[in-house]
Amino acid sequence: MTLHISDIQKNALIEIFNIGVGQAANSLSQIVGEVITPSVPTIAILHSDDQADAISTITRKPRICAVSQDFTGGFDARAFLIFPEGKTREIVRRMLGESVSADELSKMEQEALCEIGNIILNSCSSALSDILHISFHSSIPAYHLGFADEILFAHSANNDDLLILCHIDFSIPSARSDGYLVFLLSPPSFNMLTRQVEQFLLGID
Amino acid sequence: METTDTTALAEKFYICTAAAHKINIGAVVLNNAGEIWFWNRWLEEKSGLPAGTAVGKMFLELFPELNNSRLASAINAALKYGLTSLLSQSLNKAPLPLFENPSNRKERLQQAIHVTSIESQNGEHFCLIQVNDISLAVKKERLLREQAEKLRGLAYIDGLTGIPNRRRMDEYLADEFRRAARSNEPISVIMADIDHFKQYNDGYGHQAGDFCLQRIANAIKAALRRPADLVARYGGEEFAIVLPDTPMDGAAALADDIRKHVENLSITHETSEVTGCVTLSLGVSSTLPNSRLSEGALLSQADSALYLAKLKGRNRVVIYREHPQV
Repeated sequence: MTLHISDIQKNALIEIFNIGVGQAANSLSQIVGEVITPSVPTIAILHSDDQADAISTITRKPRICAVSQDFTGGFDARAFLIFPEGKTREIVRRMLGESVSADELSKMEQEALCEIGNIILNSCSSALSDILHISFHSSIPAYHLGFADEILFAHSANNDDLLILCHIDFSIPSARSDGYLVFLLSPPSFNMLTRQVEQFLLGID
Repeated sequence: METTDTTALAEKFYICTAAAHKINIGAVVLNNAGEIWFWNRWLEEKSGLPAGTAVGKMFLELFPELNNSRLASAINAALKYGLTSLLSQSLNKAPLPLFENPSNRKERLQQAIHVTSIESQNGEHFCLIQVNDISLAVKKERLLREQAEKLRGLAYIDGLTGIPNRRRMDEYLADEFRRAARSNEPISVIMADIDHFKQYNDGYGHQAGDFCLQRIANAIKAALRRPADLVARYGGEEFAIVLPDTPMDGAAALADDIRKHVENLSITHETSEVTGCVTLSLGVSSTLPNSRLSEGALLSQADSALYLAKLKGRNRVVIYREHPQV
């Protein structure tokens, strides 16, 4: 089983995520009442051997705050939106427009963050559906706080999962934030994804 | 055989429907076209809309205010893509017109909403909207937040005089210092110390001493002119005043006002060698345009000016200069 992705396929994926993130930014702008402009995402595909590197990329801080959602359908993936722990408070405060004084997010604030993750992850997933003509069901988003490796790999049965790491910058007039989207796919799911991307590319030729 | 099957199926349908009516959350099911298919009892109670009115209507026609809302796009994501969405209370202020008592539509219930898709046997997406009333949790959290804020406020207040304490002053000065540097505005500080306060305390007792501190704190506060000016109790009988966007001459004039205010209180102080009343010595320091002074240096300059005021006989204002002239 080859787990290779060509540059063209990768660019197609970037374009799909770009569309998804753009839609998410529209929805988030409505909520915040400020125009949110996302950067074009960058994508890295990592094999299990590189996952330690990926974690250290994400976790310039050892602890992260994440929202996860499971997607099943065209292919199966566990998706995460990840922020370094310290930044999350800043983001939530800006979204809610009120001061968050405690160190940890309250239940309500966790829910708000779940919704932000939900908007971004669902937008990416619907962009995948629209462009690749595959459909997904998604689970209710869940909030996590802790060490990156524990959160990311808590549920992966085997270590040969592939990891699509997508970095996005969101700039709001009053501030800048960045976060990571991580999609964990089993090798068969990853193959399904690349096959669907390939079909899409053949279709537009 | 067929009849038993049908009966069993009908029984199952009946029980499931009854259960969906009895659960203690709001449940709406929309068909693929966005038409209300099911509207449970909880929603009838909280919206005042009977199922007979709601069922068969387009959801967005029943609630036209929700067009283009986050809830509408969540419904679309479920019907079109089969996706689940969560609408948190914090980011969506009570989207549905639901009330504790719909005949008295005072305050909407605080809502947490889940929108999920249900796939029918022939592959069509239906949509289930679940509404939780979290008004109580929201109220509780608001209360906690208010208390936390109050505690935070208390941590910045001097218990005796009720004016900001040194910690608050340090943070405020640091903030204002940065702001002044950015906007290239001057900033001044005044350090003030009660003259011969130890003798006052010894002569009149600590209670009188405390009362004296309170009166002086109030007198200084009353002398400040702008909301951005801040007086803090800096130490025992020492006060610090931060004056954003104030040049040297303005600060010096204010310092002398404060001195007069305190003198005019005429608090008897027989053992004071100054006037027989409680008096104040003050040191003033200001940043100059483009100076690279730190806030710590500014404070210690004001402090050394204050020291000079003491040396020169107290009850006076001394301005810090690079080469102070006596």
